[in-house]
Amino acid sequence: MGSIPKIVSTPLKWVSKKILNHTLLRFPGGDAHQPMVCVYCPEMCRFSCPTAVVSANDAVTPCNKMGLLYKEETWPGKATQGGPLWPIYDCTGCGRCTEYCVYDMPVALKLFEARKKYKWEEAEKAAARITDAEDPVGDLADELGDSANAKRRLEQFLKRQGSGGEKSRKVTEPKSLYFLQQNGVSAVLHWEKMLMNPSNSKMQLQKLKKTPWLLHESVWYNRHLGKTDVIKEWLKWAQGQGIQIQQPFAKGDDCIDCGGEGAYPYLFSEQARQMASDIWERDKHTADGILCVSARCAQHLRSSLGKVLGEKTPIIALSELFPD
Amino acid sequence: MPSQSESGESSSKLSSALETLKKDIRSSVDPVVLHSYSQDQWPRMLLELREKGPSQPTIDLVVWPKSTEQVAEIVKWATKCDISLYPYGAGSGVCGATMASAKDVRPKVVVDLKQMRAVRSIDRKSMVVWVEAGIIGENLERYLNQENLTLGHFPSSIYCSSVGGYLAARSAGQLSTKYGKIEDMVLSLECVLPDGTVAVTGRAPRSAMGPDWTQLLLGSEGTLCFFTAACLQVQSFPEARVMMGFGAPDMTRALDFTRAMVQRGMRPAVLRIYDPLETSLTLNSELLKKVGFKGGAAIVAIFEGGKKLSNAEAEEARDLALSSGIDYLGPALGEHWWEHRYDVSYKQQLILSHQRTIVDTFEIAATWDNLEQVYTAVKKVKVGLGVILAHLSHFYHTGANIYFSLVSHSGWSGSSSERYDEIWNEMLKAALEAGASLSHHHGVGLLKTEWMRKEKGPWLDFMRKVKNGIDPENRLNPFKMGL
Repeated sequence: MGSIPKIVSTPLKWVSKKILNHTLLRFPGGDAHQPMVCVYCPEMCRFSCPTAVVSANDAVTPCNKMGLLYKEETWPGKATQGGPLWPIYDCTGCGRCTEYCVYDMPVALKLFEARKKYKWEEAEKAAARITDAEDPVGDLADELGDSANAKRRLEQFLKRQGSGGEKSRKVTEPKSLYFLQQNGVSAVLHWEKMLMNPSNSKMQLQKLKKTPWLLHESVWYNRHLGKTDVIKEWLKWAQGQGIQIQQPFAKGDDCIDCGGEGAYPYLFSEQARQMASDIWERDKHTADGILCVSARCAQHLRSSLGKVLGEKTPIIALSELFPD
Repeated sequence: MPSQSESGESSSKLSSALETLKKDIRSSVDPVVLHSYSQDQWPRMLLELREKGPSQPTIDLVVWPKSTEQVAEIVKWATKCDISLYPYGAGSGVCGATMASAKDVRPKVVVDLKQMRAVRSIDRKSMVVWVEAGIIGENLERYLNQENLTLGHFPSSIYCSSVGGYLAARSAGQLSTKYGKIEDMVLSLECVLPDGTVAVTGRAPRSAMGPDWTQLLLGSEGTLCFFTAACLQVQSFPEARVMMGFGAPDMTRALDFTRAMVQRGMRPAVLRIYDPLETSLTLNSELLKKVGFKGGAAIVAIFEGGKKLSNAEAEEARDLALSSGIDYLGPALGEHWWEHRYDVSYKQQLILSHQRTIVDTFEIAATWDNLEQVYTAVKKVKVGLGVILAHLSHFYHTGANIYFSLVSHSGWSGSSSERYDEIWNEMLKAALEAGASLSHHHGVGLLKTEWMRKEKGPWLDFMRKVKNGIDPENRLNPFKMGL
């Protein structure tokens, strides 16, 4: 451009940029959340995916899972050779890939929705094993593509809640894993209420004093229900009360999912156990016990790490510490 | 390229081989898995995918060793069963280096090293870390940051690439002008040789006990051995970071300024020149206007390390700019670059999702006396409806790298991959004739295999003899790099 007078080159550049922004630098159809976007991506979310890291299997990187969906829709059977699309089930829903994607691709949401269309025998078997007691609000069933049980359990849950202000809420057809949030009945509401009123909790918190704890924030709740700030605020307050809480890895902002929330351990139990073990092995020098947010997460850690930890290392869930 | 599993003979060969593979070594023949491992990020393959859809898997089996011993067992097993092996890290290579060769008629097995991702030890006195080859770069960096350390290696693929891949292709990071490329950071390599021998290359920062095997093996792209672990030097996490932006009226003065900077001993962690076209098309125009950029080539520099030293170097860079006719534009350009330093990696899918578009990058190295003519020669390559952008991002006392970005339309006749090959041949020819080395840090793979002979001449024959000596059956990543 050096030899072209500025009076010509400046408007030329302006026009070129405008044209590029409306053509080449815009996804076809203008939708940055279509699975095709991931097919040509160099997989910048790879490092953040707990299942891709723990399994070391390239078939389950977020990009490849999304890419598989696109390929199956565009060229049916060519990538799978007629086999199941099982990688779309190898996702905990933690949402870290979305966090690191400049296009905010909602990978978990897309994969969980796709599970309703692309069934996998193993998921159906897992769904059949899960009891109403294990899945009181139906989110596990929903995650496994079992819409019927998801809806039934949610309706029963709301009925049981009767006087708790949930009675009048209309149950919508579950559309995704996030139907808990859509229907506003997540367990999060319980502990959020508790966390936001810490003055009511001083007695229980006495139990946490003396021991340094490693916080296993439940990334599933935090990232998808947008409650990270609640956890952070509570953490600050609890530390101010003299409770020693260590946040895992990278100062708490990049906790790798332990795989314990949701249906993941029902499908990939060994990987889920390995995820829990990896986090503990990495950070165990910082604490004598593990503090979780959700009961399911604690239960998963107990079953995964029980033998490693022994009786001396307690695992406590906040939702158990402060029962409804 | 048909998979070997399609041929009955080969399929039965693999089946009987599988019976003898140790049961504790994880493996898969799942079609979805084979499909995932049949290509890396070579843009040519992405063009073919876009136009033809998924092809048949080109490999027959994937194995995931958990330890160096298991890698050695796999190598011995492959020799016994006459199988070829393809070392694999994170599959983020852009030259097809991990892809199976069509010439290879044996059952093909990808050996994915990502289960080997442990940080084995950190020695704070010698400032080195022993790390396994399968760890993803970003996860290693975060681990080190917890210890108040940094590797200082920040390729724009850091989120999706592994240490083994860095070693295999002589990777460079964005902060290489201060910390060096990966080959400058390696003290020692743990290797599994094609006969199953486990060997460690070095034990001291320098040695006169014969040639340096570390440097011979680095960049061999899996053709000579498996890298299972490496001893890498680490740095203290920087105390300070001084961001700077400059404006040069043209490329000649930008090159003179940066050459003077490094030849006078300044070591910015980041030093980047954007040529006028890349400046105007890719940098934030509002920011450029705000900082008083007058047009030409924008330059970003970042000094980091100890506070006093970083400030002193930045001060000297400012003085040099003043005496060289270069505008100092304050810290904003540097800050903005730092904030968005990996964003460029997300542009690829944006462009490739449009039919008939071509996008790729070409990174050469040249000495200062050749640099400008290489720049001009490659920029002159005819790409039809498209552009070649350029920036320089790795600087040395004796020369620098130029990173060309190609964005083009492939035309309406013929396939995009044919047009891609034509443009690449023209770019490679132009760069070679102007005196460049044809890769600074992406490596050779399948893309530049034919050009190894042209650049290396008789040294390719020497390399072939080395290969024949340690891998006589061409079992490791066969037919790559002209071998």
